[in-house]
Amino acid sequence: MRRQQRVVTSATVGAADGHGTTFDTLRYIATCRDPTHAHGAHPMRSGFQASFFALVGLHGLHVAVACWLVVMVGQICAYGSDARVRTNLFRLGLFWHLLDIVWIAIFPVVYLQENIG
Amino acid sequence: MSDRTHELCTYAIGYILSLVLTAAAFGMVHWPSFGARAIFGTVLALGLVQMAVQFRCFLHISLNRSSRHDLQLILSPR
Repeated sequence: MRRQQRVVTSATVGAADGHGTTFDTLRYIATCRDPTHAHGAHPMRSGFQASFFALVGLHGLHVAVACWLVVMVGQICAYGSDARVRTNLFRLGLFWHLLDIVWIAIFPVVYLQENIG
Repeated sequence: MSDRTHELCTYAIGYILSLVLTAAAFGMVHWPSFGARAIFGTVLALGLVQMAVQFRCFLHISLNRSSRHDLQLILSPR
């Protein structure tokens, strides 16, 4: 893989994770500012809020650390366009697109259902 | 058309279709023109269409002879 290709591929993988991290940050801010939690969006307030904050925080940490993506970028930099690196990239792509499909369901069911109407 | 071009076209078409379907769902909620239940139902339906698009364009799962075997692997309960 040429140097330019390595940079573009690594940047694309990084951008994918950047989007995930941005989403989680916005979700955290939105939760804290939610008017229905005006009297304190607080993990100590209820079982629901405790689990919600734990879930959002852990997911944020999970996306921010992004072990698989970091390893992938490392492999691209170390081995270039190895056949195995290509296969791994393809697998990462399949995994990422499968996550997308799960999120298509999560968005309306979790975030819209309660707030519409 | 070469394999590479064909592959890129598939991803591009999937991307555009996904964007259009997402924009349609957001638009329906942002500018509501009928009842909440109907809007929610339509959003779910748009989501199902988008799932089909992404399975087809991004995950290479279709009803073609060559890929039907993979589809069976996913759908079969075993």
